[in-house]
Amino acid sequence: MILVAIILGCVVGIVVGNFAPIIPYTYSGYLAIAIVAALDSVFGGVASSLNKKFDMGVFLSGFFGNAILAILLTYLGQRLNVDIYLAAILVFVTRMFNNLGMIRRYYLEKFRERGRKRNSVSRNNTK
Amino acid sequence: MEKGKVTISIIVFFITIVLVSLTFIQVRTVEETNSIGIEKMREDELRQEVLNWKNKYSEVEEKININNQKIQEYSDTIQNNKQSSELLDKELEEYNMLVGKTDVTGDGVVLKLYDSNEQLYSASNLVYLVNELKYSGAEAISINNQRVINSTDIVGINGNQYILVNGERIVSPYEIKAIGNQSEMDKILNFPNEGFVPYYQSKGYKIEIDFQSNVNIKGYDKQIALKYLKEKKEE
Repeated sequence: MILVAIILGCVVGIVVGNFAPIIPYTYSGYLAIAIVAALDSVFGGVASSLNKKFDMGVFLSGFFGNAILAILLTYLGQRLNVDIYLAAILVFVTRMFNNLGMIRRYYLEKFRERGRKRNSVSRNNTK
Repeated sequence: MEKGKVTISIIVFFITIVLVSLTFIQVRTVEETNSIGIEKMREDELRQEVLNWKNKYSEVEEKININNQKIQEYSDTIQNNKQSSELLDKELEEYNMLVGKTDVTGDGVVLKLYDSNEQLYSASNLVYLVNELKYSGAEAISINNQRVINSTDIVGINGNQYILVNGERIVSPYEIKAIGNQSEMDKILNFPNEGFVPYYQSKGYKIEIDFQSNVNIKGYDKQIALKYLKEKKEE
């Protein structure tokens, strides 16, 4: 059911994104950092759900909160003439890789476990 | 359990919409800007470029200002030249009038002298008359449309058979025109007994004198050339 929701969301998102007006180039940096923050939250959410620690409140607040915070930090950085968005991107991407690694390991583990089970079952059968 | 799953699905659905649509908007924005070509430059380069253009702009503006100033100066000079040339033109006109090269008009007198059977006019009579007119303040004189100027000669040839004025032969009736103060000329020409008119009339010459308000006198139409005169420079 969740998979269907994701696919439907993708389709609607593509349609909306294609027909929505583009934003001025000046603000595209803010949108980019917001997208990275949101992606980080999504991967974080997936990882935590795999660990059975998923909390919708944490996920939603992280999704929007991180994005807005990243935008504000970028704006502040521009005001102060410091590239704060670099630090934000570093943090988000690092976390994304961590979560992706966790997800990868989880599924790898699952895959191996399944193989082991199958092996033991077949061994039992031959016995 | 089932209800919670539906809620989660709806939330995931909306979040996916937001994420995907934002990503697409961003991609399109970057693509659009790419096509303009600015994106390829880094911010520093852009700044540098803007600075360069600003410098160029200010340089060009300065040049424009300098050129405008020059134009102003030139037009001032032209104005001055125009004024001085106008002044020169006016002066030239005055001198031409003074020398006698221009046609002139004004209040004056017209005398007509006729040769009769009794008396014939001679060149010296005309010289005398011209002298009298000059004495009475005439500013322009002509004899039979020959303008009397500084170099005008009035001579009799062959025992006064011919009279030449400005080298041209003239014959009776002699029409002498003069522009000047009419009352002054009247006083001198008609001076009782001794004036030109009464004196010559008493000797049997035929004279008509007529004071007119618009006497037209033609200008001297030949070249006035100085061959020997040079201006003496002050040491």
